Amino acid sequence: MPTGWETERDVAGALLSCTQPPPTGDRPTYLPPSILVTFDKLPDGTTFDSWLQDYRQSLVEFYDRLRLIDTEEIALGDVAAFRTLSHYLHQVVGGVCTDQWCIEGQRRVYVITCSSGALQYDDFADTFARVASGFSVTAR
Amino acid sequence: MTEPVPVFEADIGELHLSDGAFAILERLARRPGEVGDDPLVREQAALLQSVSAIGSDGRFHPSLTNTIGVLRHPDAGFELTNGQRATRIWVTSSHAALLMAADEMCLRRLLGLPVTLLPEAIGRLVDLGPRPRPSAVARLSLWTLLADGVRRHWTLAEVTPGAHAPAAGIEVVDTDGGLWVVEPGVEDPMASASDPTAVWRAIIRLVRPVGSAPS
Repeated sequence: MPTGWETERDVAGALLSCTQPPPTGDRPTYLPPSILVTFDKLPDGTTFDSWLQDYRQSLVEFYDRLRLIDTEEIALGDVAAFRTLSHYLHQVVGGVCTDQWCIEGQRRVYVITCSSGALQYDDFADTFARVASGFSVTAR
Repeated sequence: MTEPVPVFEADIGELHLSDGAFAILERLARRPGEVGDDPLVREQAALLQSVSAIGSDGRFHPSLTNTIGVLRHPDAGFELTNGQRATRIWVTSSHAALLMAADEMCLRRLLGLPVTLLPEAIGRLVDLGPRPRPSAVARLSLWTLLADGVRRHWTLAEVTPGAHAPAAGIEVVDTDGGLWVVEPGVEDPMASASDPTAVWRAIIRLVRPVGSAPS
């Protein structure tokens, strides 16, 4: 996770939540960038592909004016992952970019959700990609 | 030729107007109330008043406040050329104004929006979305690329008043096989294989106001 960001574990249904603290004394005029790691159990009879299809539909229903910018099938280490870059309307801060990686492992789908204000996305895109590329699922 | 009457959607602050009417609106935005004696200016101002975009007191309708504010003191200007259609864009630290290409009635849609939504608005205008990654060839001659399967060819360029060439910009060829970014070149421009994320980031870098990046 990026140095200096505030990290919490097992909070509000997320395995991990990491947020860049806002500048001291200033009220942020943009959404502080954040990284959230969650997981979903793959129900019996559900494949990663069908899960992805349902998940994409739920994003459209959940976010206001969601626009898909990019999708990409990639490999994180030796694990297949599906990346989605999208933009939605946040009622307070306006445009928000969300970079998401969905990774299947041990009958679970792990989702790394990286968000930032739309105008700040370019500053954090490489950090988000670096965090995602460092993710791995280890058998316990 | 009769000047088309503007259409004003007061509830959303959008104005559909001719190039002539926009020129007067821009002038009045910068010099409020200065209609003067020029009959052309008076005619256009009267048309804008007839649809309540300008009140009898010479003030703009409240729903146009942000848009007029951007036109009055823009920090930067851009032109988005998408085939034969050109959209003009102005930006301040908080808002953006867009003047769309003319429709079949020769009216151009003028709208304002928070600047944080500008990349998405541009993305929508150029239909930026998932595309295959161009494979095998990383660079091609632009002329070779244009000869085959082009969906769109668009340019977003910063426009500096008085300058003869764009200050900065991006030129994209959108093909069935993916996105290509044109490298500036006079004789034989080349295009490099790209992807929607890279193009999206280039749009943001280009249009975001100074100071919007975190320190």
